[in-house]
Amino acid sequence: MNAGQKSARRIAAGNGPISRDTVCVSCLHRLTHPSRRNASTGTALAESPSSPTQQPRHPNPPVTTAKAPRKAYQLLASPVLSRPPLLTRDLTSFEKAYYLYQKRLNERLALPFTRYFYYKKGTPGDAEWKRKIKVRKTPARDIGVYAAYGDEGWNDEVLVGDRTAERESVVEALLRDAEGKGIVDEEVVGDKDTEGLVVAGDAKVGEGQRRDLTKVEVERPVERVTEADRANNMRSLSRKMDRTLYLLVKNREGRWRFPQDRVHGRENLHQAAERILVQGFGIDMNTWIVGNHPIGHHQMNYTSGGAPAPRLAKISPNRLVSTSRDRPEYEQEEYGEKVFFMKGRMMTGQADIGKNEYGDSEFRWLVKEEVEEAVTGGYWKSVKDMLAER
Amino acid sequence: MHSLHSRPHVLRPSLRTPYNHTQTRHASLLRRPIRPYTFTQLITLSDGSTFTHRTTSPQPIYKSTRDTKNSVVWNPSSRKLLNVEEDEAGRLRRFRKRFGRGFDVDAEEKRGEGPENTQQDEGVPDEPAQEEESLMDLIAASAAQQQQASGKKAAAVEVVGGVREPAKKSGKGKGGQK
Repeated sequence: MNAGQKSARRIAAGNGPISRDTVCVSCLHRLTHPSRRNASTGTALAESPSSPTQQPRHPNPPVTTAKAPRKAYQLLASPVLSRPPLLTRDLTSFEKAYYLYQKRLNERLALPFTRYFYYKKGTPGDAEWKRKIKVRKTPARDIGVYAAYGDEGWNDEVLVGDRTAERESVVEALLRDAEGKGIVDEEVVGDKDTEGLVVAGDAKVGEGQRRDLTKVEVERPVERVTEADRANNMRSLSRKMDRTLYLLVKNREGRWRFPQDRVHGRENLHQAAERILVQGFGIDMNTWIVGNHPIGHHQMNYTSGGAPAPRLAKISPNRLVSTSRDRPEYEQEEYGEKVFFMKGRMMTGQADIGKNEYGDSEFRWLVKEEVEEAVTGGYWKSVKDMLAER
Repeated sequence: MHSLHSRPHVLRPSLRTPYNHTQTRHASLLRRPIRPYTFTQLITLSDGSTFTHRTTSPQPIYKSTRDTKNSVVWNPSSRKLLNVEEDEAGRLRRFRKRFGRGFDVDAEEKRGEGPENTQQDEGVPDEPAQEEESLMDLIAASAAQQQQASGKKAAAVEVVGGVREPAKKSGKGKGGQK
């Protein structure tokens, strides 16, 4: 029931006999029993110029009980199932430059690295450390070659187009360090005959040279761009892992919508949303509907040629809603649809369109921009503010 | 005066305009913070996902074997994690690597039916594709064979009991003698 005096007055003045399904009980009481304190309230209500239609006003509007098919809207619940992003977003160029600058600045401000605490003198770890430091002049691996306290300490800026700040080069530098390689690949010294490898007998040649006795192969991290991205498989949940994906279905009429269905019996929106997910996509989805309040709504009035054209709907009980089985199939004249969207989160699983009970033909997991392209204009206006940018 | 050297200045509203409450801190000495040297490290979780973070550890890569990605509590839908035996990072795997599958409930039942089967098996462990064949498995299997050959009925129990003794002597189950 809308709060406030204005709407109550509007209803009292305008629409003639008040039906119980548009006015709540407390307002109904207030309208039918104007307060005795202010004797003029009844007349004030009557004189309010809110409605243009001049209908005969009653100080006590008669209350009617609906017996004929009710003037109503079709109430629908629609779960907006989202898979939140699995990866952090890419950094902007400003962020990359800033982080590189901050890391190089840190070299000059933080305490020096306590090498002998971690690497004891004379151990192989210590030898490897010394070898690596010689090349990159600093214990850090992700800032390129930079000596904070050397002669070149002032030179902490990189040239335009430098790849040191990129995430890929940072990760690559860490992996190479784990493999035991320096920043720059050392040239293998040797003869042509031995294919550049050092021969055991050539002691002098092999002196300053490190031999790859054990090739440590460190596993590369999995790519951020998956197979599903390359193939642009819109049914996959592994596509666009740094964005939020929303589940849409192509309904009977061939329109792309969020899955929706009527609210049956005495179930609330939360229960309806959960039921719709099961009836629409099977039970192989681990989902969670957030809270009991909708996150958006969309209203669509049935019109034909501009004039309202109510449709007669047959409401049959739903097998999953026990309270809907209390009354047999009944009819209702509906003036339009009101869809209430419920926020849902997807954890694991996948939708199975084969289990769909609403006649939907296919499903897709789409990003916000793709939803805009797929969906009609009026629907998009209602829906766009609910969806996350990322 | 004293305040310049002893205490850091407290942020206070500037006094010029009574309504202007911008934060100001007039020139005063701030001691340089003593912060340890920090590296960037790549962390690899048990399911292969990676991220970088800042740490005082000089290791470039940290591989985690036990984290939220292979925990039952954090992955309630995963049947693989529910099954304690299949859990790769679990303690049961470590136990089996050391002591073999002689202590499995399934294995004991099979050994109970042993008399008909051992001659065919020839000391091969129960499951065909066995990667973690430990010495204990082979010992137990050969012991079972011997017992069957000598025709004792309490073979299953004694084999298991026999396996346990060498395990107590050497913690890693190596060098077990029968």
